[in-house]
Amino acid sequence: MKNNKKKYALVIILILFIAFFSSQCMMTRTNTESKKTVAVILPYTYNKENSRILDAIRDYSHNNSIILDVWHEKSLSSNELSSIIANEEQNHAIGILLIYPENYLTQQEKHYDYNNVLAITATMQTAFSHYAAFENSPSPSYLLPVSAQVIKKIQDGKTNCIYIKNTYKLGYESIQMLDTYSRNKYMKDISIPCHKVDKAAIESGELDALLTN
Amino acid sequence: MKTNLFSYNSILFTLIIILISTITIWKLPQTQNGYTHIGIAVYDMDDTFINDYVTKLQNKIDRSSFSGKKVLYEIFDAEGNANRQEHQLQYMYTQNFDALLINLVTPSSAASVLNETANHDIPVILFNREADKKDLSISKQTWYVGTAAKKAGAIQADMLQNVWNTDKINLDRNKNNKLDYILIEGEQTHFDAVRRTNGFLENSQNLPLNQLTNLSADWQRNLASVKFSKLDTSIIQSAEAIICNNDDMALGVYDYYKQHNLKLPLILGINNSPEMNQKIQAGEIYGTVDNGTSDQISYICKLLNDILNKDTAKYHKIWYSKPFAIEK
Repeated sequence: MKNNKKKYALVIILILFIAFFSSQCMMTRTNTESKKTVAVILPYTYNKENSRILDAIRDYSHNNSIILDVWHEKSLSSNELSSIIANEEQNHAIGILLIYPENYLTQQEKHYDYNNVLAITATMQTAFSHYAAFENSPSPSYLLPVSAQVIKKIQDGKTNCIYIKNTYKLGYESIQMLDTYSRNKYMKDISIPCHKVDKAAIESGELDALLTN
Repeated sequence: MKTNLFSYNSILFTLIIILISTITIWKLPQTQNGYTHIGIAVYDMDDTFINDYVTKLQNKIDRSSFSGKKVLYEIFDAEGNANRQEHQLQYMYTQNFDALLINLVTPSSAASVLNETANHDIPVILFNREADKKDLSISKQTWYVGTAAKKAGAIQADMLQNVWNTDKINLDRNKNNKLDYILIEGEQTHFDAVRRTNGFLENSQNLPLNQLTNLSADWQRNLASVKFSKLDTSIIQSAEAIICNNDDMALGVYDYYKQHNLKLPLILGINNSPEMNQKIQAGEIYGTVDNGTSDQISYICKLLNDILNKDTAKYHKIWYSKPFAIEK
């Protein structure tokens, strides 16, 4: 009888220990391990034209448990880019996003053959295996954010229409593509059309979200 | 009997294996990001002073070594919009930054920001736009780095006094024995604007000042030029000196005079921006006050390094750089 009680006590103690250490495991591991990393390489000097691209990347990251490793480069050779990519792969990055590499890559005539790299670019589409860019648009074209003065000129009839390059959408779809790539190893080029903005479009309100700064 | 003993031993063995596995998984090292991450939240990168400040900060961080790890930083431009900065800060709280450098759009909102950073256990260095002292005490891991704003205003008064003493003939154009001036202030609720103005006024008691008018231009060059242009022409033409809380507004006034081909009065600013310095050396603008930006940046990097090494006991909550005059 006494022996039976000891046996049951031992089993219960073991179960309690398992419960305790399992809960410790769950508490300490939930936050850090669920986040993925994406490396972003930016031109060194801050440029407001990239602001909405970065907004989109951050919004997507925030909603999808992604941490950003952001690099700022004045000039980068192909070897230096390889080194950053290798370091980021060691750092478990799921992909690398280059933002307008034409502003810092010194060897623009080369082909950069990386499966996990997506380049947002205006002039180097052929240099990368995968790129994100705007479709060719008529003039005048503007990047987001569009100033109130430009909108007012359309409303006053001083300008017929303009074309807007939705940099937020460009940034969002780019990081979304890298996130998708991390799951199914498939990446494709991204081509974003421009929005035509004329007086009627402004007055209809359909572009309010796009035009709000 | 034998079967019962075998079942009991099997259960015991299984539980012991599960316990050992659980302890092993608990003790396994977690995947760590290999870099140090710093978030830099800026009130408005269109402000030339702040833009220059952040560029210098970038250069300094890139040249510095922090605990042997590469430092990656992100710059967040609030574009002068408090809601935009709030959205950016919400993102920053969850991004595992090792430290934040924050230049608040609305310094009066410091308490809510610092409560959040304290909840997320993130060290914060506020810079340039000073918050209330009592807000800084919300968290042990909060510091402020800036300039002695009142001293900067006092230096402007000293510079003006020097010119009045040595070149009164040319300064007092209308020969009324008074120094007729216009005061151009920064944001009305900004501590630095108030202190710079107070410093100037309190230190110019010995000058026969006559304030023709004053206006607030929110630190902005274009706004200063626009508001200045709306002043009465007689006031503009009577002004012998223009005292500005910062260089951008001083340059806005300079723009107005140049566009209208008017003779420049004595103009004083604060910040020592590259363009302002160039115009001072060219003799077009009289002078400015350097805020000791380089010293602030060195101090911020040193403090950052000690934050990362958890060695901040020696630091005071507030540190000011010493401003100094810049003339030709």
